[in-house]
Amino acid sequence: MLEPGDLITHVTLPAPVANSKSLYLKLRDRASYEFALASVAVIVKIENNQLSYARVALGGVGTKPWRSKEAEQALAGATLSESSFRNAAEAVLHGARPQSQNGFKIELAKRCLTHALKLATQTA
Amino acid sequence: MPTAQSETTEQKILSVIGRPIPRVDGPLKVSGTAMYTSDHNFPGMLYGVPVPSTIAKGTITGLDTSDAEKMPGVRAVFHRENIGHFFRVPPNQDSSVVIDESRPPLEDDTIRYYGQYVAVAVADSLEQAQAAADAVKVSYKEETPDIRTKLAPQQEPKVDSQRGDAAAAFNSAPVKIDQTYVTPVETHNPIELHATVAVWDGTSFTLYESTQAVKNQQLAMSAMLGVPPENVRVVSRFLGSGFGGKLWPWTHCILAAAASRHLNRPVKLVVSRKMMFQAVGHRPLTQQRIRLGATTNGKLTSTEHDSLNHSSILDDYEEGCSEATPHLYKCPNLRVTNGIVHLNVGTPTSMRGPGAVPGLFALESAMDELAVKLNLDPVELRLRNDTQIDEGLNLPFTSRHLKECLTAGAEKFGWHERTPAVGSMKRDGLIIGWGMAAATWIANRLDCEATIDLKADGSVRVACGTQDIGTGTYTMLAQMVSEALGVDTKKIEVVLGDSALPVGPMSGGSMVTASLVPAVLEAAENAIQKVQYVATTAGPFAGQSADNLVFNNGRINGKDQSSAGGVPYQEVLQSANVDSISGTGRSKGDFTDLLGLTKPKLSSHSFGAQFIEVTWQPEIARLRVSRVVTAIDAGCIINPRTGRNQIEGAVVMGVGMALFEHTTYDDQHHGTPINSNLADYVVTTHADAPEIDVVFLDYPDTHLNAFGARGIGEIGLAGVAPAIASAVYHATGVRVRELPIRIEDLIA
Repeated sequence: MLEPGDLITHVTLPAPVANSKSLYLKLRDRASYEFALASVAVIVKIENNQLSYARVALGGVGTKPWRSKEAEQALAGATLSESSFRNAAEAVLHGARPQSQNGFKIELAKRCLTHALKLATQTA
Repeated sequence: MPTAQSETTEQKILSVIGRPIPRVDGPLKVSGTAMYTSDHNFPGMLYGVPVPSTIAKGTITGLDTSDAEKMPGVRAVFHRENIGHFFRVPPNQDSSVVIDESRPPLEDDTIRYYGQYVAVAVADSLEQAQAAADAVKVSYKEETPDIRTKLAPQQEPKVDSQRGDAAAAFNSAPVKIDQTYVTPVETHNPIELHATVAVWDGTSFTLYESTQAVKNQQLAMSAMLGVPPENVRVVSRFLGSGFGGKLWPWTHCILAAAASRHLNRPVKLVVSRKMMFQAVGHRPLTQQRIRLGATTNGKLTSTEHDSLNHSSILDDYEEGCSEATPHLYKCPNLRVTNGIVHLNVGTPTSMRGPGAVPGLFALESAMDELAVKLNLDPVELRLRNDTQIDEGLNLPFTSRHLKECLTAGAEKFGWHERTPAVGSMKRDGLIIGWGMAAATWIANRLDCEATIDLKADGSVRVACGTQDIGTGTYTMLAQMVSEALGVDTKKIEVVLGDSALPVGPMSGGSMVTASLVPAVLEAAENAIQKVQYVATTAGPFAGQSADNLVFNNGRINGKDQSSAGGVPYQEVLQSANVDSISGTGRSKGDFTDLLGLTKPKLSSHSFGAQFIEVTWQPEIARLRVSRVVTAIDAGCIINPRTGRNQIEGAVVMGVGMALFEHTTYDDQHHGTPINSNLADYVVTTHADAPEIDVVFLDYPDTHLNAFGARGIGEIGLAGVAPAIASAVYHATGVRVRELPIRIEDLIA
């Protein structure tokens, strides 16, 4: 717990998951810097042509980064196909509550996650 | 060498005009030596920070400056009761003095827009002034502001041009388009913030101001401060862009000057980036209905262009979206109207290409929709409606080459490879969209006076009270004088940006370059006449008749001598013990024709064509502008390097207009412009700038001046947004009629 007057000197991250691939994809109108309309971070491991491990977090869809257990469950053992990625995306956004002007983010976030998984699992 | 009076169209062999020389003020700028307004510091200088209102509509019920006044370093906190009296700029019909926000600051306790200044704190340091401004306690009786974004006319719109019977022709037209197009509020966001450094010496003001119009600023400040014009000097030698937002005075200018006068100290006031969204103007919201009637062959039979824009409560700022519509195409039946809707926003002002640029978004989008409906190539549609007569004024054009812009641009772009079906073109896994639009912009001159001094040290000084707003005016003038005298540009000192200089044109409307040419050529002729006369009194030509002398490349020789044997003019001056001689040139503008104050004989405009490619990746709804070809018919290009710079910058700005820029007001709460910073107000930056190919056509417009040169600051922006919208339609099948085009518009 930080106290007033404390100074952050460094942040220690856990070591990357062995044999994993990770990817961050950020969607916004401008190519240059802009807050994400929807963004996705994924870490995946492929074994026997399937996803043996997946971690998914989304940005731009809430007041903080959104870790999605639903996606991770949907992706456990999933084939490396666009349809299974899209299914995972549907699971993640299921129950999402749009406001009056940001409903488009639901579809955008689904496309973002689907595409991020596709890029992360590409062999070349 | 061309003369000021020449109106011939024969091709002159120019040696400096048309050369891409680097900016003559470049070294000053890159070394940090160029003095912008806020670079000026003076002994005893104080800092002013305004206090903006935090509501958009209501009245001030209390204003307590007592705490603020006691804070360290604070010299004064001015408000309505102690700032003194401000006058108004006298209303006029001839634009002799222009101001968009007519109400002087602090005049009453009524608030009419968010950010309206209610006080100004003045202290020894910027930080102390800011802290004091923050400590001013203001209470309001707040009312619900009207900042609607769907406009309806508040009074009968005014008809600005009509011919034939547009309504009847539309009703009977076999092919019709009837759509409404909207362009959002845009904020200029020049990189340099508005600033005033006001220096009062007891009798006179010297006002360092980031202004695009030093003479107008002088006259307006003189009127508002109640001081004779000769006691006001305005200096603006370098500006970090203005895009029109720095043309006319804003309320901070007066506050800084008044503070300086009260305190007898210089006062520096720099408008913060956040305040730049509130109180120094913006391009207003426009809402434009276009009705086109055409034959099945694509010939226009009817055009109706009905525009509304918002303005502030008190001022009648008219964007004039239909300005280009009467003259762009051949169409026997036409009617254009403009109306203003008064809302609780700051007073809008000209922003690069006011009127015709948003107007062309509407008109050229409608033309593309017509081309799609007719299954006709959009370039062919423009060619079929091209004309050499300005049907709005019933006058021939001085020089119009829209057709050549269309064909040259199409050729350079590779337009013949286009397949019109939506989404039919692909490359590298992306869908490609191609769109195009026609462009046109004002090409006139303003009154101008310039002096050229030939000096005994061999240098030349040219002076004119115009401005260089980043467009390259210093370089234009050096090249013009160099051409006229045959003297190297390195020997020419250019002096601008001071109301004490001979009156020059304001930097707006793309008119400075054309205005300078006749004045500079006449000044050169006069300087030459004078130095030749001096030559007859002393030195090698003493006793000869001036008629026997000629001036070439900085040297004077007898008519029958070769110029290689001539005497440099500085030697003539030295022989006569003369330090410098001065020639003046004056030329009358023709811009009053545009204001309807005088009757022109010809219509002059610049033309262009924009060809744009977008890439579309539906998997992630990613739209990018990948390449642009811009063909420009703007007469003789004085300097292709700075000229290209202008067009490229305008195209980059056009990408922002189409895809990014949008000032949003929070009408649910206090009417705040909420995206009032450069993270949330998005402009095109390097990563978003496409490949841009600029094609300058070569048709000098010698009706405008002897070189045939026109101003080119704005033509490059015209047509970019509709070309992008058309390309987006070609890629996605979605026709977006309200800018900016966003991801949410394109996601199915």
